[in-house]
Amino acid sequence: MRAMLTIALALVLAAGAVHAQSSTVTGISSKFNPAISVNALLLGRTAHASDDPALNGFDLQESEVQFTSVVDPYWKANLITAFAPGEDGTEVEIEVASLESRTLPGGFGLRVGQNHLPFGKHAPLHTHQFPFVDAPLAVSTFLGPEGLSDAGLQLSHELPLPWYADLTGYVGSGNTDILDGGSRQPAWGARLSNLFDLSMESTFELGGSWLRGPVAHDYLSLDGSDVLSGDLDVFGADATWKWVSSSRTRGPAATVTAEVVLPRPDASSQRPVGWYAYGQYRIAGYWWLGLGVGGIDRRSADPLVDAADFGLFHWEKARESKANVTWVPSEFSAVRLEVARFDDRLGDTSDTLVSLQFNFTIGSHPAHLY
Amino acid sequence: MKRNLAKIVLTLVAASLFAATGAAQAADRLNVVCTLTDLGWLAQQVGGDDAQVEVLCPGAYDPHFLPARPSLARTLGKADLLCYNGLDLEVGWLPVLMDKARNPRVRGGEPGDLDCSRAVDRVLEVPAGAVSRAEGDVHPYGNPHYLLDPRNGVKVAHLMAERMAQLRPEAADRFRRRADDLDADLAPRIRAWHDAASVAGAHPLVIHTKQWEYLADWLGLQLLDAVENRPGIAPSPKHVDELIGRATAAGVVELIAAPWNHLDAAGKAASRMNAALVVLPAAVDSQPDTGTYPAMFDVIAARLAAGAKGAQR
Repeated sequence: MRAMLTIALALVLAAGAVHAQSSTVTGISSKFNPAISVNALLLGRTAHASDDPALNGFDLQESEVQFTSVVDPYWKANLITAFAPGEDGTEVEIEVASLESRTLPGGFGLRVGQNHLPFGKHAPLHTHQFPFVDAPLAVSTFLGPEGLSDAGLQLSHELPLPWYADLTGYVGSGNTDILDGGSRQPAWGARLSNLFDLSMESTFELGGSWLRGPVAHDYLSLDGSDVLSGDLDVFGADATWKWVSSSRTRGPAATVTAEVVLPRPDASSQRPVGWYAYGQYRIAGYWWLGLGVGGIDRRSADPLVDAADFGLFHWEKARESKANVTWVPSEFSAVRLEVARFDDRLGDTSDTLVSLQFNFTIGSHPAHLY
Repeated sequence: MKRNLAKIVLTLVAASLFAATGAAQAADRLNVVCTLTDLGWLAQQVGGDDAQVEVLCPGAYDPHFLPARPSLARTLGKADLLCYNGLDLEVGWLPVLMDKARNPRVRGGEPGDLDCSRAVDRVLEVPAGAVSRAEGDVHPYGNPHYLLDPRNGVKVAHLMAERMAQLRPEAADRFRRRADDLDADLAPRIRAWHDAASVAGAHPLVIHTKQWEYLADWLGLQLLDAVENRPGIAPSPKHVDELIGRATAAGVVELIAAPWNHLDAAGKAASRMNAALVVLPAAVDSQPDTGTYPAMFDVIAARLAAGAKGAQR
C-alpha cells in the first residue's frame, strides 16, 4: 500500500515537469520541479550503564528527504521519506505521501494518502522537530517508536466557536506500529484542538485525541510476543502554553507542554498511563534550554487475571528526566547537548545517557506548524 | 448521552447559522487581509468604506519571524483579497497560515491573491546566479523591504486599486479615485521627506541589519555595511571589529537599526565607532507615533535629519 502510494505520488510530482518542459527540443525542463529539502540528524551518545552499541557511539540518527509541490489547481502533494540505521542495515520508511485538497469548499481540509495522524502534540512531529533527542517514553511506548503514520483520509474543519477550534477526523488502514494493518478493519480517530490567544505574544492550547482500530497483536508485550487481539482505543489529552516576545528578533520565547496518553485494549484489563511534560526557553537569541520529565505506568486493574490470560505481561513503571541546551546559529542548523536519565522503578535499573546531536537542513524546507 | 450529543450538534448548527448571517451582512464590503501594517494602511486608504481591512503581523513584530498563531488563519479564512509583501519576506509563516485557513479565494493564482511586490519595477539586490546560505538567510528573489521607499507604497496602492476593482467592479471608480487621491496627497510629502532626510547622505551610514537599501536608494544615502552582514546569522567579532575600523575611518556618524534589532548590541557597536544609534521605524505602528504610512516617514525623515545635524555640530 505504502509502496503504491509512493510510486503514484512520485508520478504525480514528475508529471508537472514532463508537461511543462520549456525546451521543446531536449524535452528536459526543471521549471516545475518540486521544492526539495533534506534534513539529517547526526547523533553521538554514551550510556553510563548500558553497553548497547545503539546507545554508545556516533551514527546517523535519521535523514529525511522531502518533496513538496502544487500538483494542479486542485491538489498539493507532499512526500517525505525517512532513512535511519537499523539492525539489518538502513531502514527506509515513507512517512508522508499525500495529496492535500486546495479547492474544497466550506472551509474543509482534506488529506489523502500516507500521513502523520493528528494524535496529540508529539506524535505528529518529525524527528528533527523533537524538543529532545528521543521521543518521550509515553509516545514511543504507547503510540509506536516511529510515531503514528497511516494511509487513509483526513478531513478537517474549523468549528464556529469564539476561539480557534479545529476538528480533524480520519479513517485509515491501521498500518501502524500499534495497530494491525493486516486486518480488514479500518482505523478511526479524531482530534480536537482548541487554541486561545492570551495576548499578541502568547497562546494556550487544549487538545483531545482519540484513536480506535484493530490492536497489533504484540502491543504492550514486553518481549514482542503476540498476546492481544480485538480493538484498541487510545485516548490523549494535551495542553500547551507558548509565548514569543515581540521585543526583538529572536527575543525571549518559551513553550510548556504536557500530554497524557491512555491506551485501552479491549481484551485486557490493563489500564496503562503515559505522560510527559517539558519546557523550552530561548535565553539569548541563538540558545535554547530544555527541561523535561515523563513516565509510563502499565497498571493492571486485575493483575492476576492478566497474568493468567497473558502470562507475558508485567507491571512496568518507568520514569525519564531530560535536560538539554541547544545552539541554533541559523534557521538551518542546530547543535544539542543533552543529559537524560531513565529509571525502571520495578526492574530496579537505571541509566544515564549523554547525547550530542547535530541537526541540519538544506534545500527549500516548508515552514513548520505553530 | 444521546441528548447531550444532540444539544452539542444543535449548538454548532446554530452557531454556524449565526456566523453565516453575520457574513451575509458584511458581504458587500470587500474583506481584505494584509500581511503587514504598511500594506494594511495602504489597503484601507484605497478600500475606504468599501473594504474591511485586517492585518496579520502587528507592527511590533519583525515580519520575518511572526509566530503563525492559528487564530490568524481564522482571519485569513475570511479574506476575499490577500495582500502580501512577497519576495519571500513572509515565507516563514504565511504558507502555514494559508494551509490552515483553507480559503480557496486567496490561493496562488486566484484573483484574491495579490503579491504586492509586482508593483515594484526595480527590485534591489536580486542575486545573480546561484544563492548560498553561506551568505546567511538571503532572500533568493531580491531585497523585500521595498515599502521603505514611499514611492513604492504609492505604486502598491494603485495595484491594490486595480485588484479591488476586479473583485468589486461596482466600486471600481471609487477604488481608483482613492488611489489617485493618495498619490496626489503623498507626492508633495515624499518630496518634503526627501529634502529633509537627504542631508543624512553627507556621511556614510552603518546599518544593523540589511533592510534599509530601498530607503538609501531613494534618499541617496551611502550605506557602508551592516553589523549583521549575513542575514539571520550572528556577526562574528572579527567582522564587527573590522567594520568599526572602517566606519571610524570613513567618518560614520549614524548607525541605523530597526526597533526589533538587538539594540544593546547595536548601541555598543555605535558607541565603539563614535556614532549615534538611530532607531528608525521599519513598519507602520512599529514605534509610537507611526500609526500611518506617512507618519512613519515623518519620523524617519525627522530622525535621519536630526542625526545628521547633530553630526554637523
